[in-house]
Amino acid sequence: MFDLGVYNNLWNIYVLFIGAFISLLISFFSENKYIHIAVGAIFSLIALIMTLFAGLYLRTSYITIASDSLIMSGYSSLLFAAILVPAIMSVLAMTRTPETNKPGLLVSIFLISLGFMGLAVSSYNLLFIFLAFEGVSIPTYVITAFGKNDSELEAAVKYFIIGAFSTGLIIFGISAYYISTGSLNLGTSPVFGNMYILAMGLLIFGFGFKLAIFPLHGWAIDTYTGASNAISSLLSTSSKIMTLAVMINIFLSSAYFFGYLKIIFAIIAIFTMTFGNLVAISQKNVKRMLAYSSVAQAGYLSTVFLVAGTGAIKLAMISIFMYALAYGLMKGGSFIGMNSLKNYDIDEFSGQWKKNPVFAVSFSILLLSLAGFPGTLGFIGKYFLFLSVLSTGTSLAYIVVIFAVLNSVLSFYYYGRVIMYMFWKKSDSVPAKNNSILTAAAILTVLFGIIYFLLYYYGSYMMVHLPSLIMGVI
Amino acid sequence: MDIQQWLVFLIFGLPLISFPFVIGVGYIKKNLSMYLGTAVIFVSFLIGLYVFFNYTVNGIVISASVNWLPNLPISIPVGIYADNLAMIMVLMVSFVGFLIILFSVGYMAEDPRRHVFFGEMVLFTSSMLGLVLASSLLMLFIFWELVGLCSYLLIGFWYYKPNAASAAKKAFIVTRVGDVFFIAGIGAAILYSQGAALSVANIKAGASVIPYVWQRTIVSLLLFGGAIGKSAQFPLHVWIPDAMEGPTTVSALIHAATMVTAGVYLIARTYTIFTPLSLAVVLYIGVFTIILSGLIGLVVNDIKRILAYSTISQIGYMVAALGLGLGATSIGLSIYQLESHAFFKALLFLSAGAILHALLNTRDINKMGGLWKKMPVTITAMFIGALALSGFPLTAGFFSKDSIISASYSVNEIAWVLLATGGFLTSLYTFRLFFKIALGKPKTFAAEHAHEAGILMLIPIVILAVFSLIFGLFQNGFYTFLGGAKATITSLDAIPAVLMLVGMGIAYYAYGRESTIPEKVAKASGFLYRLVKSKFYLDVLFTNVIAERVVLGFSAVMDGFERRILDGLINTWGYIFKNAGLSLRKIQTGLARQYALIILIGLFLALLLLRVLMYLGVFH
Repeated sequence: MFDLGVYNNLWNIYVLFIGAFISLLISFFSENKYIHIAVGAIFSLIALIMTLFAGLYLRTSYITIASDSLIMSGYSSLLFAAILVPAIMSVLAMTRTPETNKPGLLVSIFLISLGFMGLAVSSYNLLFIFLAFEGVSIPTYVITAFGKNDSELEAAVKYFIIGAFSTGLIIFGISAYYISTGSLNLGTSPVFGNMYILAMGLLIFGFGFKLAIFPLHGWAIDTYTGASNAISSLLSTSSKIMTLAVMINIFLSSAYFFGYLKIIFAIIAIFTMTFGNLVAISQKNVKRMLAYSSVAQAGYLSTVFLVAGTGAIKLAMISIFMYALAYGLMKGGSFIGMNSLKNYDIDEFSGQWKKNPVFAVSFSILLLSLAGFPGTLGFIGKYFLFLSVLSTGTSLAYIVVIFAVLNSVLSFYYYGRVIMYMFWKKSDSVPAKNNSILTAAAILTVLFGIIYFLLYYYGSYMMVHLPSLIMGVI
Repeated sequence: MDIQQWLVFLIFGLPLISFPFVIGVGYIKKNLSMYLGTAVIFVSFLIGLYVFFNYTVNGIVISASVNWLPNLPISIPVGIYADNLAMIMVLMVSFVGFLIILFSVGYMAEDPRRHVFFGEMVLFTSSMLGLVLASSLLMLFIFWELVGLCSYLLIGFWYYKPNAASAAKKAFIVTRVGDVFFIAGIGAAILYSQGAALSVANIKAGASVIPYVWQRTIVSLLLFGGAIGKSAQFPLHVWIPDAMEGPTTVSALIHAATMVTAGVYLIARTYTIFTPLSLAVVLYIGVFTIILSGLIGLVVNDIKRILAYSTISQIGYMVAALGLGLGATSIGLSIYQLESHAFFKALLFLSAGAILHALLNTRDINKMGGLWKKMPVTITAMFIGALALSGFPLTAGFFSKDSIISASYSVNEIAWVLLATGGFLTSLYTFRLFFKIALGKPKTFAAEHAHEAGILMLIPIVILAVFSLIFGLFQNGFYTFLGGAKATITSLDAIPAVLMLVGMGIAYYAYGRESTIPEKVAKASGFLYRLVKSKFYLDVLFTNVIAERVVLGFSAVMDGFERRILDGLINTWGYIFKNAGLSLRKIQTGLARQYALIILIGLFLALLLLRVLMYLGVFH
């Protein structure tokens, strides 16, 4: 029987849609950018607070809606919180970029995409996942195109073409899944094994495009570089964390596929991080370098699939929460930090320590955190993620972690180069503008890097029901 | 955490959090940071007092810990552990620290970088408080290193003086030698006890936390190696005399309240795991240090260095008391000596600071003289300090030191003889210093025109003088509080007192009036005099032989290896990676159709791989 369930617990997502309509309504009367951004920030903040409070209730008793299609649990609210933090940073950064005369539309589309992100991370039915995922994709195609230059348009078009292409793969994968299992719910055991594996292969490639893992990374570099900074930040953080959560929901509940999943993702992870780091070395444009480093980070993140079906899954999910938060702060913060500069050439960074020390120190902290320097949240995220992968004890896990650690070492080269330019190179570049979001991100990165055990205990406190939710028991 | 635990955390947390603000407000107005720094330490002291009285009423050990790195095979507690030992130390550190900082308000009033100075003093005190309250050896080590860092910063506070800069480096490097032993000791403790011995509570619960005696001996000797470095015992005592280059208040803080007591505290904290063998080592190192530094103290002419050598020898008494191996009684004897020493040594340093303040930083005692008439309050206070240091009957030093000497008689007669001799040497060098300063005629222009210091500097001096006089009242209460036996008075107690009076008499005969005896003695002893005067050639050995020949030679070899071989390897790899990046970026053409093509190729390969795996069967 189809059980409708209790929809009352979706209010943290409803407020985002309500905010979208309010922003549209206000745009009838005023196109003042600051009003709309305030609306966007306030509603995202309300959603964050409600998510945190709802999580306290949901952690012991999760809510199922529409016959297990949507499951609101402590785990999903934790990941949604990790999505909302960088999203709030992005919407605040819209004061500088993109330049537009329709801020009402921009903010309302932004809020709609956020609402769908919340639905996507708690969906456990492929149809729901597809709808929510497209509900994120289509608004983000539109806001990527915002801006006064051709580069934003080009970025949006590339994003759209590859996105549409992947949608095809997803549909194909979903139909193959239905053929093999006779159901669209996740965690159903297959009737036709071969078809199931084909479906999973297609779904990896369909969903993986938003995560920008190795063969699917092409659009990401151009789009992150071309889009305006606030949007690059959104695409490379919130949208990516959402995709990772969706993929975790799908693949970690497909017990039949676990053996293949680990091999495929071991290969993908190694290729992704090595490729991202190697090409980032030769970049002179810092924003493009950050785009490549974002690809490399996707490689680190996707090592989480190696814990499929083992006891390490709880630790892995806690560390994914911590890494997602770290990643949102450091990657979002560094993309937003680009707002302070005229152009993104590395020479523009030289001598900023003398000209704007706050900018130089904050940006260096975020870069060090990206590289995984101890004392920052980036290190903690990586440490626990790799620890959980290692604790599965398979030789595959050891190979992947060794590659990941070597890659982290490699990445110090290009992050360190920017720091070196900022502190020791003299030039007559323009002083960077002050950027409070960048500074706040840097402070939070260091603060939580030191008192990370609070995050750890919070994460493990919230994930009471985690194993039964995603290990195929649903 | 309940309110008590928060309060204990605040004892060191408050100064630790507020030290950036102490420096920060200095950029608005320099004097603000002086007042803020003093107030912060005072609040710490008040909280410590409150917690202490609570403990005396209900006797509950306050502890709270979280696991620092979850999901490791061992647990690393980070938190607070406040038992009787920690609380008595907290009281002393915060109280003496507060008085010294109060004195600094007058002493450093003219310095242009005083906001930095006060910030660092606050950090120094807070890291010592954190060290005392730490709930695990690793956390203790972190604060231990913070103490070392602060000592480096403060000794080199006048970094533009070449002596100060090199003294700071020396203090840092020499204590670092001890730290290597300490961290090796922590490693050994983790290894032998599967991590259980990291927790201070587990160590206190009993020796069985580390199963075998030989393992305990190794761990305790390594920990003692750390203590030697911090507490300036032979052979790592060489940093302390040089450390006198810093501001005098820093010396007072290092010697009385914070740094050198850390080593003694470490031994007392981990006392259960010390085996008879390692206790014997502790005892003999302590006794040897007392005699050695007492002899050197007789021939030095720098007022602060004499006090430095006296610190080394007094710490030797604390270490020797611990080495007696009497359990809680030993800890009581040692910590009581530590605290009474804190009072009179802080007193001596602060009055020395007042003298240097008056004499424009002349430190040679041969250029002073006759100061009792010029600075009556300071010199009287210093007289009290000197009496207490040498153990004049009924002063604080008499109770603390004589108890140690008497207690040693039943354990080890050789140690008793040497400890008593040490007491004689102590009174000899102390009164040599005092009579040369206070009596006779002023020998320089500066000494003739010396005058009393300001009221702000006199208050701490007077308070400390009072404590140096009356601290003996608390002796038995102190021992009971730490769980030891009460002191008993026997006829043996008379011997150290008599020796002390004899030393004082000789000092007056030789130095208190015009006399040529010292020169004659120096000439007569010839080689021996030169040996002592050159500090037993230990500095020469460490600097010229070990550091310059052995270490520098070794590092030159490693440098060559690194430059030639490692750098070459790294450059080759860098070249490879850079070129790999350059050629890989060519697939980033910017054409969306090619990206789609790459995706399709990737998909094809992935599906092919899946198909192959299906045939082969999945392996993990």
